[in-house]
Amino acid sequence: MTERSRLLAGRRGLSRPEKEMILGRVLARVAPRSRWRSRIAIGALALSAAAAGAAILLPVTPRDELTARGGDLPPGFEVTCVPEPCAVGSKLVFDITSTGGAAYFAAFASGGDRVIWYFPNSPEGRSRPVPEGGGIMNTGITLGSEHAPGTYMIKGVFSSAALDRASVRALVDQGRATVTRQVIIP
Amino acid sequence: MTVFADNRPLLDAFRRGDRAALATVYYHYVDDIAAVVRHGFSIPTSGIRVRGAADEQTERDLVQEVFVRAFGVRARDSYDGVRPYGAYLRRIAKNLLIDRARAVDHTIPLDDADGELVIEPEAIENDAEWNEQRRVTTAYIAALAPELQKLVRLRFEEEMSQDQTAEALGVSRRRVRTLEARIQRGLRKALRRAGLWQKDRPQPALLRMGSQ
Repeated sequence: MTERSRLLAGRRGLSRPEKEMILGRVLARVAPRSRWRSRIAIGALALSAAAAGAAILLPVTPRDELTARGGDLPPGFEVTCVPEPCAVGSKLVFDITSTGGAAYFAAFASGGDRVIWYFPNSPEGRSRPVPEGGGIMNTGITLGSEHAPGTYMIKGVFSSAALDRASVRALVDQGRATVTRQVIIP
Repeated sequence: MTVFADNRPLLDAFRRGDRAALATVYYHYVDDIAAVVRHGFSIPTSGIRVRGAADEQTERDLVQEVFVRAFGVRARDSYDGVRPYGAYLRRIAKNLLIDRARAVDHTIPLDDADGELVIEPEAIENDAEWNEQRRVTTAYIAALAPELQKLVRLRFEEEMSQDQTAEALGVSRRRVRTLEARIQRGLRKALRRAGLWQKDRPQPALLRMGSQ
């Protein structure tokens, strides 16, 4: 199936939205935004959300025995919907902006009373290896009908060992080794 | 002519890793690199033909990898601003394609990697499928409201950024994003109605994974 943006452009080559997506990923790898800028942006977002009466969970950058040492930065990730904005049919792309020295990554979304697992992708599975040095996880998540419109908090857990879902949830419940990102499906 | 010709400030900003400078260089060369990645190339001296990316996702991944390698700190620092930068990027793309080809065909000799690069003309296979999808797309665009038709022209055909499109339409960038998503959703429905959407589309990963 041809990429829809190429059909709209009437050309088979990369479309402008695709080029923008690729550039975003390249820059995330080679020239990530400085942390203080990100904090300012997050702070501004939090302030605007607070003004609107909403609550935003800020990323937690933990350091404990389950988070492997050795990275220059604490572990972090960003999620992007391709195409934006997020909608059923979009692909959720996980970009590991910093591994923090961790070797494995797990993620799930919670919205309302539901939990949707991304990694591990099966009840018996374990967290996925992170790309060496960070970067895009090689598996994206196509948003299906289970992602009803709403606000989802995506929790990512970095660890030095592959974890099953129960271990991941235990860490999250303890508030450890977790980075949280928000995705809104309009 | 390299994008850095007579533009020392751009070269300096590029070497610093300035995101705007990187974006300028990227947009200057991305179409050329995408063409190499998409179509593959041949090495006339040995008659070897290296195929391009087999699908759009691979094409995007390879283009991304070319620029990740070229824009790395060490690569930026070592570039003198004089050597043809496009040729440098092409060489990275070519080597990536050769590495992929060697993964399945170990007979490609190493010294051929330095051979002349001739981009293959666009393959004509799948023309029928493309033409059918375009026919549905064209009819879909024709049925859109004038504002949306203009957005398609600016954003997709003329490749404007969302900011430029917003300015041209006199709306906010957020509005452009919303309309763009609406257009893409509508096209998906049109393709589905025509029986052209599900055919090659991979099943959503979440359906395989299940949820709890």
